[in-house]
Amino acid sequence: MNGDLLSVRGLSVSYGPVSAVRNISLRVGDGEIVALLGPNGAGKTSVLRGVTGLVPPAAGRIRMAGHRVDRPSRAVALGIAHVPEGRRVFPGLSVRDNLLLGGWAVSGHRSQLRVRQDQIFEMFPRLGERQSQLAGQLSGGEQQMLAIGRALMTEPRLLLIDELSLGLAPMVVDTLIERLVELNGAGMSLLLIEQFVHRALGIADRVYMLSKGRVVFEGTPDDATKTGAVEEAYLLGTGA
Amino acid sequence: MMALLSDPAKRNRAIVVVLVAAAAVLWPVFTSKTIHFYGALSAIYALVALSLVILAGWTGQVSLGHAAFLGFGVYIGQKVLSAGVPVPIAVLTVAAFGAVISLVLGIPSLRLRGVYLTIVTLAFGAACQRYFFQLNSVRGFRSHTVPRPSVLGISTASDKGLYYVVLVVFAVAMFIAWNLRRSDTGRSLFAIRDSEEAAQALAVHIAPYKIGAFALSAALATTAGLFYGMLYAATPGPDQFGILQSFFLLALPVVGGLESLWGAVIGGAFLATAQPLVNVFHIRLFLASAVALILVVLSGYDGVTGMIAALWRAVRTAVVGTEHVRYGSFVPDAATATNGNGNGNGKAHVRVRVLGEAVPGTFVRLRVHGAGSEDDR
Amino acid sequence: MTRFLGYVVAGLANGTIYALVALGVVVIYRISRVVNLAHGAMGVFATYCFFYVFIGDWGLPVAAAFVLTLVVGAGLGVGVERAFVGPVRSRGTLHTLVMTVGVLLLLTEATVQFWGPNTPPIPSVFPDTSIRFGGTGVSVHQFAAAGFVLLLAGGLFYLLNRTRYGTAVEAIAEDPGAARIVGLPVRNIVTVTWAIGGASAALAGMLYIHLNTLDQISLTFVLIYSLVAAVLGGFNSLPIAVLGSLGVGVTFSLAQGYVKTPGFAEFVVFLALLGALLVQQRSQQTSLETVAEF
Ligand SMILES: Nc1ncnc2c1ncn2[C@@H]1O[C@H](COP(=O)(O)OP(=O)(O)OP(=O)(O)O)[C@@H](O)[C@H]1O
Ligand SMILES: [Mg+2]
Repeated sequence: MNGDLLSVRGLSVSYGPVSAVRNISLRVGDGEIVALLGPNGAGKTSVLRGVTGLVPPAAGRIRMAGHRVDRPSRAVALGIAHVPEGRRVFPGLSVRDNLLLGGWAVSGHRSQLRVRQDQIFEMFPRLGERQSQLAGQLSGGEQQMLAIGRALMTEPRLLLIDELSLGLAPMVVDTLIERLVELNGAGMSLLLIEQFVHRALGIADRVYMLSKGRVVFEGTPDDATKTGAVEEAYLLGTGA
Repeated sequence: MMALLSDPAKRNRAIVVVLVAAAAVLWPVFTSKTIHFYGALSAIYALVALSLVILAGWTGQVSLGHAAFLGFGVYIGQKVLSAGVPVPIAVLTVAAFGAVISLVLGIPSLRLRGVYLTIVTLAFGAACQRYFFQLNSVRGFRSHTVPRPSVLGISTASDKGLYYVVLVVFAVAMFIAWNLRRSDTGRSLFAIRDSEEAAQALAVHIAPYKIGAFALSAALATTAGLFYGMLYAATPGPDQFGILQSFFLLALPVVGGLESLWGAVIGGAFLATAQPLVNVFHIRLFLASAVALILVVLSGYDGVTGMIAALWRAVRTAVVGTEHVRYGSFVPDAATATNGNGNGNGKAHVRVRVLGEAVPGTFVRLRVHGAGSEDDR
Repeated sequence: MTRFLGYVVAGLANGTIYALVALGVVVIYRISRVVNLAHGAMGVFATYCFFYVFIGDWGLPVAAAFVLTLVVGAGLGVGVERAFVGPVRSRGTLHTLVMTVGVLLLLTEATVQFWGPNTPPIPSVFPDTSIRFGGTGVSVHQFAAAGFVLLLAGGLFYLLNRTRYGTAVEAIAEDPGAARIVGLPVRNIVTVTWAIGGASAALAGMLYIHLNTLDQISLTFVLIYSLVAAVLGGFNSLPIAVLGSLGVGVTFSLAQGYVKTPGFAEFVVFLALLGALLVQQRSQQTSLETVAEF
């Protein structure tokens, strides 16, 4: 596929002396759902941090629709939105204020943001009911909805989601995944980190398996299951 | 004693303690009188530094009123000593006095979450400097002489004698603090101090211990004041125990190291060397202390103690080749055991090799070095 | 009665200065969650620049020096954040607070080092003419000070409580990492907020000198009085910071006026702080109870 939306080449991420991601390359095509899988500590989160520039990469070239990404605000401006691991909503702010800040980077008018916000309340009615409640008082599932909603405020072309299902009931995860597939249907690309491997394989177009900071498999979900790449990566990672 | 020698880490520490103690006892024999004065002064400041290390260690807070406690020690001590009370009783009296004042400050502030102890001690320091110490019943406008009676047969007429007395008091205080720290309560408090959430959840329950730690801290600081008065044989004016002095006193343990009792020793030693140096080069002592404080805090080490420890580890690694880590080591490459669909809640994955004295049920403190989570702006 | 009124007016005049300092402290707390103990020292340093450098050495007119000093104050605020407070913030409250003490000592000592221990006889920034008001005179300077405080308090209240800039400030204080993820310009917002705080410290210094001689430590004493008000408002409320400061100013002035013992007012302020802590204890308890409901 030509016209990659996101292209990452030779990315390395380290934390001081600790190297978490070593020289990996990946791409997300326009309209694709890509899953990034791997055991705990494989470096999945670090990849996302490197992509948006939250942690300035030690090496690598990151391009979004042909433009260089070097810092988070630039990433957001280029249409990348990030739903971070652990949700990270602002607990002391209301649901509405959380969404409002999500839309900071789009230099739109207030009324435009209002429209956007209403769309999100339509997608997640639970948020609409609780819009003046503090985010810290929401349930885990509602917080994840809010984190997604906050990311959607900029009308991104690419959504990075880190551990969607973290600590959530399966029912809630199903609903969220349904929403994400709808969004993808409307043209948004997804880069998804997920611990429920089979859920991720179920919706992904392509898969990257990560282990100890390197890509150990790249291909379609079918290939991944057939070749046993999944089991291998997870077993390798746990050192068993 | 045998147990002490079998564990290399403990043995090394015992050796260091013995060496430092020997140096502290022997140096006055080889030096002149003027230096004895600075030695005694440093021992007194080390006592203050120790009191601040205890406070920071147990409550995670700092006091900006310790100069005022020192001042009370001087002024009350002068009255008690002038009445012919022997020094040991005088020590107990001023210590009790300091502890009682500390309750007035500690009870309202230490039951709160936040830095309220710092604020209330600062206001207390201001009130002492401008009000309490100006009262004739405390100090007033005139300096009084402070007698220097001998203590259990040791004459304090010379600064050397006074130095030895303070040294004994300091050693006793260190011993008490060391034991308190090793107690279960001490360990738990130490652990809780670092966890904002645990501290919040338990704020009410641990308040009595914090208040107790502050009382001990205040008692030590007033005791230091008693000897300060004896050293100068006079009662210096209120501005000598004002808020600026409290800021300076805070610099001592910070430069020495707030997390370790050694910080107090090094803080005192810092003064012993800084004061003469500063006099020679005509720098302002407080200015030098401020710079030292800022540099140490920026360095990220826990004071000079932390730097020495890091240096020691580096040298050891270079010489012996193995990394000896007291609390455990950080093994970034090895993923931790995951049970099936991992939990991975985004925290760093660490495998801890516990060496030394960790027994099940004790707290393991993990310090993760390394820059660059998204929290760094 | 006239005497009483006189004390009240003088107290309000002092209270406006305390309010300025309290506003700065609250603003900085709201962005960085640190009680900036160096605030008074920053104000003193800027004011010494105002008198000794801008007016003394450079011979600038008072108005130009005044504006320049505000810029210096803002720069000091930004510099302190960038160089000292920002780098240690992630290491927790204790280290951050200790750092502000270090900066306080550094700036205070630097002021002495550069300009000696003498205090500047600084001319009033505003005319000294008195306007009769009831039984007592209120000077133009005092009116101007009050005007500044109202302006600043109103502006800050609007900015922090009514605009999305204020929402961003709260978000950054709660979770700077998440704020960056969302794409907020964290650096710029922190810089602007500290600049406002620093400039308000400089303003407080320049207005203070007319009411009282300004020595190196006097604004740090003012900081203590302001902290009473800041504590009352939980370091968060701007209106309580202003009203509390005025209250402290009046109390202080009455105590000083009627009880001639030196420093008695300081003692009263100390008692007021203990009172404010009890109020805080109440409100923390209720907030804990609300949390417990969930
Ligand atoms: N802020 C940090 N400082 C130091 N090391 C870190 C930091 N964050 C992550 N690491 C290390 O980098 C490596 C990769 O971590 P990362 O969080 O990217 O893994 P992950 O694949 O997202 O794991 P999980 O599935 O558990 O979320 C790990 O070894 C981890 O210990
Ligand atoms: Mg992760």
